[in-house]
Parts: sequence; C-alpha cells; structure tokens
Amino acid sequence: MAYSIFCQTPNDATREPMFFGQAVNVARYDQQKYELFEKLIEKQLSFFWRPEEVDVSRDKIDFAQLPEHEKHIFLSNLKYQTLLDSIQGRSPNVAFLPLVSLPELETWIETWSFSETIHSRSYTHIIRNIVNDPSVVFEDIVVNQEILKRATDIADYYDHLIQLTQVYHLHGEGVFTIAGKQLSVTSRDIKKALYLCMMSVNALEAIRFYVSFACSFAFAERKLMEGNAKIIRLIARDEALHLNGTQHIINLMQAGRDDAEMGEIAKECHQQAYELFLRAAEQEKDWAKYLFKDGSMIGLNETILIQYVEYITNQRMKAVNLPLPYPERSNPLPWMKNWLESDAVQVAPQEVEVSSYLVGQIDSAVDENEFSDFDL
Amino acid sequence: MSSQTLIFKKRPIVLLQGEPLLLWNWQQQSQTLLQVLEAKKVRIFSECRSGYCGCCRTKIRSGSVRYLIEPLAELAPDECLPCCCVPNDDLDLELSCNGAEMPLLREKRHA
Repeated sequence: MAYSIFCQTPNDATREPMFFGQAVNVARYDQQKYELFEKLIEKQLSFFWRPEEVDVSRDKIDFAQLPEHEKHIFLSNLKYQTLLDSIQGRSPNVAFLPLVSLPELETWIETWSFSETIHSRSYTHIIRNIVNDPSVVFEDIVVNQEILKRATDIADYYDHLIQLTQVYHLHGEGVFTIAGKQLSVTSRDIKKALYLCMMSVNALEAIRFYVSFACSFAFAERKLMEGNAKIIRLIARDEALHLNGTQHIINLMQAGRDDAEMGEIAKECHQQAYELFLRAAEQEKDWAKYLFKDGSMIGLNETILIQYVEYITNQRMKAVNLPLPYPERSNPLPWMKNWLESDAVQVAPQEVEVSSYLVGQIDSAVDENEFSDFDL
Repeated sequence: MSSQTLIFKKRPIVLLQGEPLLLWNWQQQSQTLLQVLEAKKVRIFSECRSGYCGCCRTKIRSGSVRYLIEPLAELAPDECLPCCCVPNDDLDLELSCNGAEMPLLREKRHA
C-alpha cells in the first residue's frame, strides 16, 4: 500500500470515507461530502490574526511586580501552552494527512494546524517580552518533569498512529519486527489508533487547553498581564473552532455512516476513550497542584481549578457521547464566560476594552503648574 | 398558507423537560434563547455564543427554533444551538430545571 502524493486513479471523492479511502488527488471544493469542514475553514481564515498586533509591553512591568509564586504560575502555564501548541502545530499534518481521503477535510486539517503555528509564534512574542533570556523558559520545557509527564501521554497516541501508518505504507498488513519489537499492522489496527488519537486530540484541545486558559484569564481578571490575556483570548477563539471540528469528526466516526467499521471500532473503544479522558483530567488536576505548590493567587487556587477541570471534563465528554465521570455542578469559574465569548474579541486595538491599551496612551493628570508659563 | 396577512402569533412557551419555564416575550427582540435561559438561571454550558463552537448544543423534546445567525455545526433534527436562535413555537428542551427560577404553578402550590 505505497502512499502516493498524487494518486492517478480517477475517483469520486464524495463517495470516499473521511479516512482510509483513496488518498486525495485533486484538491477540488466544488463538490463536498461534508460541507461543515469548508465552513470551518472559512471561519478560521476570517479569524486570522498576528501576535505582533497585540501590544504586550505593559506585561513586562506587571510581570516584574508579581510575587515569586505567581511568576511560577504564569511561566509554568506559558511553558505548558507552548508545549501543547508545539505538538498541535505539526501533529495533525504528520499523523492525519497521509490517511485522509476528502479534499475539504484535508484542507481543514492543514488550516487547523497552521493556526496552531501562529499560537506557537505568539508564545515567543510573549516570552521575549517578559524575560531577558527566552532560552531559560523554552529550554525548561524538555527537562521539566511535570510538563514531560503530560507530553508523553499526548505524544504516545500520535506516535503509535504514525508508526503504524508508516509501516503499513511500506509493507502493507502483517506482523513485523521493528527495532526488536513485534508490531502487528492491519487496517483495523490503524483505524483504532486513529480513533483513539482523535479522542486524545479532543481531550487536549477541550480540557488541557482550557485549564491553561483559566490561569491566563485569572491574571487578567485582576488587570494583570492583559496583553497576554488578549493573545490567549484570540487563541481560545481559534481553539473553540478546532474543538468543534474534532468533535464533528468523532461524531461522524461514531455514527458509522461514513465508515461502518469505524462505527464498530468506536463502540469497541468506548471504555478506552472514557479512561483516556479521565486520565487527561487527572493529569490536569496534578498539574493544578504543581502550579499552586508555593501559594495560590487571588481568584484562583488549586481547589477551584480542580473543580473547573471536573466541570469542563464533564461538558466535553458529553459532547462526544461518553458517560460523565464527575458529579454535575455549576461553573466554578463564571468569569471564564466573558473571556471565551467571541463577540468580546476585538482585533482592532482602538476598539479594545482591555485597559492596557488605554493606560499610557493619554496622560490625563494635569497639574496646575502646567499653565504657569501661559500668558493671555 | 402563504397568506401575506399578519396572523397573530401566540407567544411560545419555553419548557424544560416538560416543566413550563417562561412565556417568550417578542419584545425582547435582540435576545437569544441562551440569554433568556441564563436570565432564568438555567444551567447551560456555552462558550463562543456566536454559533461556531457548538458547546451549547441542546436537545429539543418538541417544538422548533428559528436561527438569527446560521450556526456552524452539524445539528441533528432534534438539536439546536440556543446561543443563536429563538423559539418558533412552544419549545420543550432537554435541560434540567435544577437551580432554574421556575414559575410557581397553581397545581403545584396546592399539592
């Protein structure tokens, strides 16, 4: 089953399944099987933004005045966000593109991944501004045990899928010995790996990201690090869209109308998917402990963040038809709503409500002495 | 029934799992179903509030809705996104009345 970048067999893409059909040849969008992906692309393009548009210079002053334990919270959170987007900026392309068979879905995956690269670039923009040596922050990401623990879990699902796909494209189905390990490769195995990987991506975008957003917005609720919050707000807006896309793919897989075998696999993996989400949520709770190990901050502490993890996990699992692991409760962070609401996102700086723009633009304090040399 | 005559339209009743919650007020023209539900303290999850994240997806038990902006989500015939719609007729939603400000009904008071 060698992979070809341009398969010359004529086909009707609208009759192919989302994945594992004939690889996409002509990128045509006049006929589409799932129009939603096209709508997602259009929306994502309309959301385009650049980190340089957001002024983060005020954040440097704020950051310098933060107590040590809050600096730890802010930087650790930023490191984690950097890790998540480093993964998401490449993995959907590497893992899903070789398997996709619909042009609109292929383009959605590329558009999705591209927007993650903007997020990565914006972290550099933020970090460069608040610390003198960005290396201190970036280099810690691959040695910090707390971050690595979660990176392993996220990357494993991708790595497994990528390895199976590569072996399948080289040798086809069969049992192979790869680096001393036996590896059984069937198309069903790959489909299963894809389903679980998609679930893991969903847990990443739907739970892990939102825990980090909560921390960023908690600072801005106190009028601190507002430039950062404005960038994170733009990132959150993109993420909501990605989440919608991933949930849609998962729902299509579960329904089995797109690919009957995938529907069976979804049923088979029900328990595994449940445990995957639960593990992600539990890891996020451990992370909350690490974040607040030296002290909490006004408006956010370990207990509230853990409650939020449970609340958001329930909501996300409901969306992909999984049973709810935690007791139902009301939103422990009601102010998150104001930050996630897209109408409140303004790209043009003159329209921004974030006070960092207003502060420092006009000095409205006028001393009486200013007029001392005035003559009428 | 394509008459151009304005026909008086009954104000829709919004229900939660069969329990009446409110009588829709057409005067609140700019309000979405989500805003009205939230004002009544109904527990509902939302995020973008503009119809593209799909977070407020809610099951309709009976009735129908009209969209103010086109939602960016694949909705089943019995689903709606309250953040961008208003009721079209009496609307029964699959939402819990736990915590919601339900009106006091006469039968209930006597019971």
